[in-house]
Amino acid sequence: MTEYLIALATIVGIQVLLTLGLNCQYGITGLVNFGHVAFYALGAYASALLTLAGVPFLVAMAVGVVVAVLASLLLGTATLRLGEDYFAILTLGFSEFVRLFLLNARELTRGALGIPGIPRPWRGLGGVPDHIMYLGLVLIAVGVAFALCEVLARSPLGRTLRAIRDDDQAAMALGKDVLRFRLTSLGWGAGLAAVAGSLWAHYVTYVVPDQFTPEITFYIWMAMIIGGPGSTRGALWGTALLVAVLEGTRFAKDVMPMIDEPRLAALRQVAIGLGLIVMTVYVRKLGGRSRPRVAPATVSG
Amino acid sequence: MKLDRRQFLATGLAGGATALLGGGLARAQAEALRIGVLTPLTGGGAVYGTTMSRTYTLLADEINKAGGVAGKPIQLFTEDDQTNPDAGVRGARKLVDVNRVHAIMGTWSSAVTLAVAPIAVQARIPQFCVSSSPVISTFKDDDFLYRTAYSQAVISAVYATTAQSLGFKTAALLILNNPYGIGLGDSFPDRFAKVGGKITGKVIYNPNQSSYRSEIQQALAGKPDVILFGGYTPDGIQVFKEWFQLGLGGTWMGPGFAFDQKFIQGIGAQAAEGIVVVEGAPNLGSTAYKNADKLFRAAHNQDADFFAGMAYDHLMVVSLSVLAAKGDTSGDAIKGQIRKVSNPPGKVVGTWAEAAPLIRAGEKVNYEGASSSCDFDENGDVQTDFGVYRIKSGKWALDRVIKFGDLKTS
Amino acid sequence: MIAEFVHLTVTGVLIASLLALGAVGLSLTFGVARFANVAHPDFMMLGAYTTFAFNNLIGVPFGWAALAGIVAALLVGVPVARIAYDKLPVTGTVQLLIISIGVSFILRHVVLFFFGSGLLQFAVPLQRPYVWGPVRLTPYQILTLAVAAVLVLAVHLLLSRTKLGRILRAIADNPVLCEISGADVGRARLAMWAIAVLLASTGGILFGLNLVIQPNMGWDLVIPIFSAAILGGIGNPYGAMAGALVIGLVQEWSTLLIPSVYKEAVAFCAMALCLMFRPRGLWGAA
Repeated sequence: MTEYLIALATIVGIQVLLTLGLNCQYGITGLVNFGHVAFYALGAYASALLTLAGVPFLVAMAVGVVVAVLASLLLGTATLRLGEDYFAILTLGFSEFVRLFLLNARELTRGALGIPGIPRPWRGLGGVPDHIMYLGLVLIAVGVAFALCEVLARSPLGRTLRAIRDDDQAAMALGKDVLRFRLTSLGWGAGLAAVAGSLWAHYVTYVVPDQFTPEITFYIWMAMIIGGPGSTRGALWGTALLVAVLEGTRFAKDVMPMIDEPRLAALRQVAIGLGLIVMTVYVRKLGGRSRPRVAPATVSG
Repeated sequence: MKLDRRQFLATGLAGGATALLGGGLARAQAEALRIGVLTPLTGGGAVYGTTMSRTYTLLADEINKAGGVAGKPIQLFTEDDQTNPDAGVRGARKLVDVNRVHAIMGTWSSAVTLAVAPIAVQARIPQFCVSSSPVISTFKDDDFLYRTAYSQAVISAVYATTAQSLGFKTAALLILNNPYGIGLGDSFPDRFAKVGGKITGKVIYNPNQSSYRSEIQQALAGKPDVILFGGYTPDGIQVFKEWFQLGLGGTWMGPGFAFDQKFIQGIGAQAAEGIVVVEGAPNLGSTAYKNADKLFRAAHNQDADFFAGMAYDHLMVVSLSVLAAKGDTSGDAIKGQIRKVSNPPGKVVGTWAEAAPLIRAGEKVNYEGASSSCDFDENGDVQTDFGVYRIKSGKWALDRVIKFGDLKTS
Repeated sequence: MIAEFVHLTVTGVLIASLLALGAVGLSLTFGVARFANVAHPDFMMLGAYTTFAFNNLIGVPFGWAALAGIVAALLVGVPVARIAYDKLPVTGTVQLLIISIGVSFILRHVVLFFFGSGLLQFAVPLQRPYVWGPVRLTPYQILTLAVAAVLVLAVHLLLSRTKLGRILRAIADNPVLCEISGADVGRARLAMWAIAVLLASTGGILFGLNLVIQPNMGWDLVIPIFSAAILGGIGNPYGAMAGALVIGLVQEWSTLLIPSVYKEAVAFCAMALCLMFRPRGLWGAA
């Protein structure tokens, strides 16, 4: 049982990093990023491919971060000025684009075959059992990320980001380069997601494009909303709660064998959907806009 | 009286708590041979996973009724891999970490097998699969990964031979973008060229596309005699339907698990007429197959097919290995006995009743399985025979059996 | 070469007609309700499954099953839309966007719970195509093109010739003024959802007829349908149809240059490029 809890804690830790990243982008800056899983995937693949080519783990992870951040800058520059809805759809499309690329660039990524046998770093160091060592690694990463995010949130940069989230027109009037700040926030979140991706890849030792679907993005959205967008601590316990509830239902099967796994999985997703709706409407910590949006094109006929 | 009631309550609470912690965990940790069944109960492989799961259960019951394996009952823990590597990995983690299984068996999709294999290797427990990707042969598994199914590299030779014997000179490939499809796409062209055939087109398609019209037209641009399909039933129905409604010619050929009853129902018996189906042929003459068939028919009123046979073989080989290791259920011990009980020389056996007394008496046996002779080579592969069928009036009609030895597999 | 080009064009037009039924409704609701309803393509899935229930589970012949399916989809889809998007107390459209994600999850997985994840087909026989040179079309495919054209024409007539159409256009232009002027905005929005669900569910039925029915059939079309609607200019149903045509054709023609596995990325790129240079869409009002 301890083994399982260790595995669970490791997964929670990795996903907390994803939530922290999204929290920075949406919770603090108000960017509706529906493509978060793309940065996760880029970090995972970069780290996997490089370590298998002999590059040291931390270097590979760093490269993954750079790749994800660059991708986010590219994406952001092209799409941030287009308004929330368009940005959301485009980021969603972007994440699917990345997945399709990973699926079809066979020579680089082995496509649908996936990359098996990804090595675990520092295996056997000091005689510590491998899974405990890995949990330790993840916890350190989470600790550092948490600290950095808290520092960011309380810093002048964080204040500016929140100001942009609440009223970008006013921020612009005060002379802030809104685009640059948004790109910073997007990049920050992308970098965290890439670290998570790298940790994921080396944990499950196998990556395949199928693992990086939009479902993951919305799972993290759910985690962030549960904990309250904008709250670093919330990102932590929101993720833990979500994973605990969802993974816990696995055991329901052992006790109640008449529920089959896919039906159970479907119910879980319905619960996520309901949760998203309920929490979005009723959790008032949302940094939403109170002023009306600019009108899109008129209806003509 | 009070004491009794308190004791009763305490036991009840403890029992409830244990149940909450995950089924029969406490019981499970006692002396038993714990087998992890990781198989697709949903998704593209659902039909096969269900068959395999049922077979494992039937055989485990039979062996337990006969006293178990060296006194240890077989305990099955089942997880649905959903024909999805991610779900497979999570299921494998639970089986290994929580249920502490001594072996994993039943993965069908190559992607799932390859994702789960590192976990089994790291836990040092044997894994038996029915996947067909050629990558599995050479996978660095420290001799923990075994398969009872054919590799795409081998069945390509069968497809080529069959195509040649049916007079097909040109072929086009329509393959799914996954380890099994890509494996077929890599192996078939060479084999076909060896028998004088020519590939006129090869199209790799992604699942979940809205339409395959252009892929199909592309593949068939060269007007091939035969269209080799490397996908699963669900996309098979979709692809075939679009092909049919384009009114293009050619004969279809593909694996049994793509052109099964569900497929035939999906497109209609009339449209399915004449499709060439190749599937692993069970080892019909063996006592193992006869027993598996008997068990399966008694419980499910159906013949035991290739997959039921393979499941039977997985559990038999592991059980016989543990018995030969005098009850030692550690992965290394089992691994050490697998070839000793399945490969020649030795007295040929096929059922628990035949084999167990011999092993206990210290004799060497050679398990001949229900799906093949189960002689594992150094990669953990076996040599299976193949059945070539044609769909007639909505059912598979056996055309001929191709024995492994007849294939020029060099 | 010409033959291949014609093949691709025919396929492109077929795909476009299916996309159009989704994109036109989306464009309408995006323009009037002012938010991106990511669950819109799932109304297509709804129509397909309700029809499947009548056709395959109850045994009703396909034609009647389709009509019953559309009615059932309206009875489910319109209330869902009304409750989720019009009745909940939200403070901004970002929340509606997130709510629509939730609606999509719920619709898809409720269907999955009851129908399973398998690919399904209507109980209709396979057809052989009519062949005119390089053009190959089955009767059902011709029906699809006809139905799509008729419905889009109907929407055009509704928007330009009826009172409801005028109100919808007015709401899209200036919702506040509309409320003040006393027009029955609530009834108009109800009608808007009904039109959207009607178009989408019909599209879903035709999709299932020609291709396949599976729980993610709508979700898988989110990018192409949004691309079509955005390309055509949000709020412009005619534009959405044209946008669908562009997306369908570009996707298929692209296979002449790049491997067909990248087809779906093409729609996304088309949309992204369009938004970068003409954010209002190709036919959107300046």
